[in-house]
Amino acid sequence: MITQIAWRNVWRNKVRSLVVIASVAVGIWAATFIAAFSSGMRHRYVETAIHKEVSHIQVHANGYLDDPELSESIPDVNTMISQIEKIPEVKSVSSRLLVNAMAATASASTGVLLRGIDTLSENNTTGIGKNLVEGNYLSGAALPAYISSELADKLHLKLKHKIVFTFQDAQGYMISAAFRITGIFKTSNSTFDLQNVFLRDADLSALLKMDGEASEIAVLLKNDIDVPAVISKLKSQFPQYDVKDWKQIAPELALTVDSLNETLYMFILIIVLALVFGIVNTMLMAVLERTREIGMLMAIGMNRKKLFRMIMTETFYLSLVGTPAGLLLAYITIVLTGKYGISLALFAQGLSSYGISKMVYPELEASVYGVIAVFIFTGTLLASFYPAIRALKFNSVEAMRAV
Amino acid sequence: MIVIETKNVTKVYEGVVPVTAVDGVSIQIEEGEFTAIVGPSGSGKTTLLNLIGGLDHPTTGEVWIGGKNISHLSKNELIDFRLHHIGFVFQAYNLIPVLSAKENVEFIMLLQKRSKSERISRAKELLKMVGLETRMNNRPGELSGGQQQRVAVARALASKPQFVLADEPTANLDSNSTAQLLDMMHDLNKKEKMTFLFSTHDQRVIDRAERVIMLEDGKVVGSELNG
Repeated sequence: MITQIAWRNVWRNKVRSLVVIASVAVGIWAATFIAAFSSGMRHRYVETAIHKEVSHIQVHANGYLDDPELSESIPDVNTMISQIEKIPEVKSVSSRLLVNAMAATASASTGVLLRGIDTLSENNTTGIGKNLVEGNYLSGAALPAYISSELADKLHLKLKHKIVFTFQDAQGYMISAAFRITGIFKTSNSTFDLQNVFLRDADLSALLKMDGEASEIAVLLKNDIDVPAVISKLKSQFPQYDVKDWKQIAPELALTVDSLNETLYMFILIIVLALVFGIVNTMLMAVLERTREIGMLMAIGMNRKKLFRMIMTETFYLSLVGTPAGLLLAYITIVLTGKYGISLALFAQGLSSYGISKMVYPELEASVYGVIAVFIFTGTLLASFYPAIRALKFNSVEAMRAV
Repeated sequence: MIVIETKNVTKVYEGVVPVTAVDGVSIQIEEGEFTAIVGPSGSGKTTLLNLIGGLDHPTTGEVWIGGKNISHLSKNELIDFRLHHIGFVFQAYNLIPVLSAKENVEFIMLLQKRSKSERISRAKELLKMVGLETRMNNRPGELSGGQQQRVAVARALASKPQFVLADEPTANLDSNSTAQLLDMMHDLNKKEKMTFLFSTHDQRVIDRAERVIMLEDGKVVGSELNG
């Protein structure tokens, strides 16, 4: 009967109870949706970074990452690539000859990283050719250059303009070469765009006299989960080289993922706290409003344990109705926004500097729904502790005198 | 047999100016009595009833119920004691608004952990006894003041208490309801040998009481038997 009284008490003040139920539902919806949004953003950020820039795994000569000089290069790279391509989990492999250079035009200059690539395999690995916005992807000239629209704006360049790159070869001799801009690209990472220029591997290696050599080999896998297995295969196959996964190559990616996670926890905590205070307030009101009745219950012999249980049960019922409603609402929102995406075009420029796409597709693992629901459900129950304890402190005689 | 006994009981409410609500009261109530404690407002009737009912602790003196000194019982012990030994009828009825008349009567037996079948049959029997067999499933809000007070009496009796304490039970009732309630309680007193102790300043209750204890300024100033 205690549970029966609790249930009926819940519906004494329908508006108030519906407000609490709505608060729980909105709290769960908000926390779950933020988690899904964050997860979608994180996933897309990592996916973009892996599939467009870093790849799952990179192979370098030992010491290259500490001191990225041309002297620390991988010789006979083609043989190595053909061996890596035989690993079944591997989707594509691309070698890059990397050299820092000064890019100059008649009116401006800036530092860039020249990337000598095999156009086909690089396009398979990072899809850089698909980011073309104007012209051709490294074709249509004797020495074609593929630069970003950001860099073109910075250096006041247009298609077919010439750009001069000055850099040092492995022996330390300065080399200057004029390339013609045949293609302009744009990725979702403006920082990457400003810093990188793509050239054909054959052109750059001829200038550097490093035919058949590469600074790095990028390996894209069919599935993210295969990274550890392929890493160990590559390490045993090429013990003389430095084999690293994307987290080691780009620690800033892992850092950003961690930051997003921390921000998410903060948001969820704020939501739970707001919810908890709301429930404390409402339940306290519900208890104080029934001071006389609680006094009478104690007078006729209802002990504190039962009284406590009754008030806690009322909150339990409110949460029990609110939680599935919130979860359902969140599920529908996540499915819909996950399908059509949420455009953050308003913040596109800022997001782009962090390499985050303006479209976010919220997604959430099933277990996270449960974790959030349990978290908020527990929070609401804890919130009713104070009102329940307050009721236990009533003196029955004084409580019955209350107006 | 003495059911209720107060021995030189005093209750002082501390404050800026301490107030002595009950001052050295010693009374004895025999089993089956139908007694009214009367006096003007502020004479200490309700305080004395609260002390007898174990709702409050005396500052000094002792309260003995059924041969047991309850003056020093803890809060939890008193709750348990009230549940099993005392029936309460309050001035404002104080029924649980979300429960029906039958459930209100059943509720106290639930607290006593009685079986469901016993609860239901006794609740029905008591509501029939107070003339509410047709209103068992109505909630307090659907009953008149007199009917609610009759449910309160049925609830007070449900726990099979040693006696019933009624604090101004007719204060909110009209003449008819008062007469019906008094008739009913008088019948219970006679048939069931149930002890009733009222606090009242209602002349209609005083006239029906078999014994009247008069209080003034917290002190017993007289006790007389009604013919």
